[in-house]
Amino acid sequence: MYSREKINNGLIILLISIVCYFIAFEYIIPANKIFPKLSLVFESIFELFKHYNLFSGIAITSSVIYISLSVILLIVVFLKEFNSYFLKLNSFIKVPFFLIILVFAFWFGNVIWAEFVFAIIVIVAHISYKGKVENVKINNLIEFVELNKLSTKLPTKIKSVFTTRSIIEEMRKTHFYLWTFILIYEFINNTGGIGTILERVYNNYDLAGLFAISLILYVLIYIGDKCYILIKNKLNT
Amino acid sequence: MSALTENIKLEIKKLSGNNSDFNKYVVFNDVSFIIPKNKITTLFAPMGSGKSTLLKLIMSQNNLNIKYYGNRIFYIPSEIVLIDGFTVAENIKLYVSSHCEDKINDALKIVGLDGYKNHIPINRSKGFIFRVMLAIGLIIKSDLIIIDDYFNNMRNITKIEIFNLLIELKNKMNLTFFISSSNFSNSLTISDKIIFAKGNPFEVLYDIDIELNYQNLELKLESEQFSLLKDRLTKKLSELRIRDIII
Repeated sequence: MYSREKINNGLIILLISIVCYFIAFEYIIPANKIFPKLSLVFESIFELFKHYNLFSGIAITSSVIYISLSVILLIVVFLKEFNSYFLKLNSFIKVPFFLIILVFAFWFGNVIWAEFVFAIIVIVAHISYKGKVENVKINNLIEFVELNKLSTKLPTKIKSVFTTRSIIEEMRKTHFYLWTFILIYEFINNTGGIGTILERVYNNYDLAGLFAISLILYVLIYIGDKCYILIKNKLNT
Repeated sequence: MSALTENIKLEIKKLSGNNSDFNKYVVFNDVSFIIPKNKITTLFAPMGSGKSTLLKLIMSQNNLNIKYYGNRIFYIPSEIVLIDGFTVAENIKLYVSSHCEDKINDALKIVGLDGYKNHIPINRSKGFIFRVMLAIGLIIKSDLIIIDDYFNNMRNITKIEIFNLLIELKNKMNLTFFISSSNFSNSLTISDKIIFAKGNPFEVLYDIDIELNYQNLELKLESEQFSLLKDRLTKKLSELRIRDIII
């Protein structure tokens, strides 16, 4: 009941905001450099597919993000013995991602497999950072099991289940970060993904195009997140 | 069991010396007290004084100065030890045999979580998580439940509900509770006996049996006897010079 009420309220606020935006920028202040007209944004969506090759952009970026996430997820679920190593990698990956992107630009240029490698580095680094915090919790759990003499085999079982579950939980957040870093990577390295289209839109001073891409990105990330929740629930580790 | 010990659940006699187990260095100075059977006893001492170390020492059950007259002790730590993303039932099954579905249902009913088996406890309140922990203690048939400074930062209404639950369990299931706390008001509200202690070195300063028998906690808190006792013990606190506590 509560969540349905919350959704209804959210929808009402969203609809009112869209109507206000439409009236303000379509009729009151149509020409400005801050927010584009809504009709122009929708027009830009079609333009993006027609002139900027957005289909191929979406295919490249989504493949990089979701294939690399799937690879790590498969390792986490089916090769559980690696999980504790993921959490220990934190001390090795401390270089800012922006520098890694620049170094990759020098080394590999716009090669697509390098983008995959970069995506894997981002995911593992993010998981391992979270792992540092989780290690404290794992120790508390183990102490709880040992003090209560619950079972001699339990600490190992709990450690494995806890690590796997917490990595899977964390990868949902990683998904959002990965989108950001991959877009920056493509923006700089010109790999042909959405980031590259963003670079062209930016260079053409196409504000409506920028808003149109933002809208498409929102939908893609939203669908990706929902799919991740579905897969996570199905895995039931 | 002798006649002398039949009303005692746990006894600590002349516990002295250093302890550096459990990641903390604590010096005990002639610590002696008893935990009576079927009562709620609180060990009231300042934060960082060594309460948790003493509780863990009790749990380890390998100290000759600590004698336990019962079947099983269960320890509820102040940290949350349930797993993110796991349901109530999944969390419980990590700690107990997964083939005792009926026992899990019964325990959840007793702690007031009937129908919450498939809820995720981590997203819930501290009170909800406490009830799950308590259910684990009931499933493994503990007769002494040790609670380590858990009730701080808990909403007042939740706290009263939990305290009423503990009193109900004590009366209906003959359970004994031993709580460590640095919160004076909590200690006074829930306890049948309070042991006042200080840290560095850890030593017991004073203990008192609280004989206030009311039908429920609300009546007890509103009674004149309770106010008088509170005043008396507040004065005692300043006499004992116990610091770093929550009044």
